Parts: sequence; C-alpha cells; structure tokens
Amino acid sequence: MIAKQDLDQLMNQLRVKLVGASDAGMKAQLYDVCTEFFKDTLSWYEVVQFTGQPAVLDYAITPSEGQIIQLAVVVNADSSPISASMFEMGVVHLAAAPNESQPLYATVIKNVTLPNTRDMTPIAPDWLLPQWHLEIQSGVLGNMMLQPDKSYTDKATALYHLKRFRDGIAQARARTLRANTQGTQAWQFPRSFSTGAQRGGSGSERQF
Amino acid sequence: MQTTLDIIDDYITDARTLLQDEIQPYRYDDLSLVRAMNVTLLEGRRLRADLFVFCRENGGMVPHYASKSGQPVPIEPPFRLAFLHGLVGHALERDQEDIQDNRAALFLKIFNDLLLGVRPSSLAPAAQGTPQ
Repeated sequence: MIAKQDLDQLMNQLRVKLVGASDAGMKAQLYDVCTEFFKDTLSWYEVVQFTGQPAVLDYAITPSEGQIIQLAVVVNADSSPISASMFEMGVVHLAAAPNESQPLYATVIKNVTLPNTRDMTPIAPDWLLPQWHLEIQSGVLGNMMLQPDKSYTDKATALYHLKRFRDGIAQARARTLRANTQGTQAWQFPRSFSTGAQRGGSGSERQF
Repeated sequence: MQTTLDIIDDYITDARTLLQDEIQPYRYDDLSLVRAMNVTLLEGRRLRADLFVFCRENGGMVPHYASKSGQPVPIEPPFRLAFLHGLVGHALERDQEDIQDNRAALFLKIFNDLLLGVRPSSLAPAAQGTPQ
C-alpha cells in the first residue's frame, strides 16, 4: 500500500501545479498512470506459493494485492524451474503434473486493479512513490494537461512531462531486468545450458 | 475538515445574502432556491464531470435535494463558491427586470469561470439610475 505521507506529498505537488484540478480527478488519473507504469515496466512481482499435486495440472493462485498480468517462472523447492504457462489469468497450468505433493512457487508480475481504497488511492506497492514519485508526478501532470478546456490545459508542457514519464518507465524496466543491481548485465546464460562437468558441451569429445 | 458551504442549508443561507433577500416573507422561497441548486449541479456536471463521476458518496451521480434538509453537498472545497454563484445566477434568471438579467449573467459567468479556471475580472458596477 502506498504510504499516506508519500501520497500527500505527491498530491500537494499536483495541487500546486494543476490549478483548478479536482482531487478526485487527479487520483483517477493517478490510477491510469500507475497502470501504464506497471504494464510497461513489469516491475511489480510477487512469489505465490501453491502445492503441486499428482495428476493435477491447473492451480488457481491469488496475489496478496493487485492483479496478475504475467507469469514469470514457476520453481520447486530446489529452485529448479518447472515448465508452466498461464492461459487463463490467475491459473497456473503445469506442463506435467508432479509425481508427489510438493510446494511450488510461482513468480507473477502484477498491476494495479480496481477498486481503489476508500479515498480513491490506487493500491500499489509501498516502494512506488519513494523510488519513482518524480516520474509518476510527470505522468499525472502530462495526462491532466492534455485534457481539453481546463484551466490546467497546456499541451506543450504536457508533452514534456509525458516524455519524462516514458523515460522513467524505461529506467524502471532496465532496473527490473538487473534486479536493482549496479553494474551487472541483464542477460544470463539460461539454466538449460548448465552442465555438471567441467568439460562442458556434449557429444563433442570421446567418452572413455 | 472544511465545513464552509458543507450542506444545502449553507448554500441557501449564503445565497440569500447575495440576493439581498434575508427578510421574510422571502422573494425567493427555500424550495425555489433548492431547485436552483439542483439545476446548478446538473450544469456543474456538464462543465466538470470529474467533480461528480469519481465521487463515491453519490455513486458517481449528480446529487439531488428535495428540500432544505441539512444534507451534505459533496463538492470539493475549492469549487463550492462556484456552485453558490451558479445557484444565485439561476435564481435571478426568473426575474424579468433588466438589471436582474445583467446580474444573473454576471453570476453565471463567475460560476463558469470558477469551474473552468478563468480568473474572474472585478465585478462591474451596477447600472446607475432607472432603466429607460
């Protein structure tokens, strides 16, 4: 959940910069901006545990908050990936049923969802505004300033803010790929390339 | 918590001050002012849908008042003055005197300007003398 002090800081900045805008309108726009942010950055994820059962392929899972938009990976207790897909949102479909009952962990990517809280605040992770409040602010400002016939309508400034917002999305996506590390590369060899021997490869050397 | 112009009664009371109609028997009775407020709210919905459609108290609908009943008017504080002017403007519209027509137009213009964010100019002085 977004912390109240973070939301108040954001709303106060918006109230100052959008003369004549209503609080309700700004919060509604904030929901749309958060939706676009998480859809394009894929940065909000959660590990959901469920129990794999023999002869059962489909498992309905529910995140603690938000809605599932993608399935990233399913692993077992040894962190080995399990082949799975999500044809229906919220239902993990295993390629093969496990032989015995075991805990499985599905990493899902999430987005905000309606309804918002009672005061119309979008339900989003608590790190969103502390880390990205400038970008979210630009997103709201840009979209609000594009509305026609309002006191805060300003298309030129709107384009500036929307560009800042999109740049922020690109940064957030890059950080997510690098798991918020500094100086590492985003790409790693797939697990399927790993071998147990130091020789590496297969079928290229004589076996004794 | 902002309580200025919080309930329908506050709007009626303040409107009587602007209408200079504070001594009974009133020229504009309570029911006609309540009706004027209902119409003003509809016009406000047209101009600023964001003030109504996201309002959970009324389920996104425009509120309606049958009488001066102490019910709250769920308008955000910065915009309440606009609805007061709209109420007064609509009430004045029923009069047929030239001066009242000008006053009605002025109040309705302030209503529009406040909702749409145009800075209102200073009030024009009332016309002097008797209309010809």
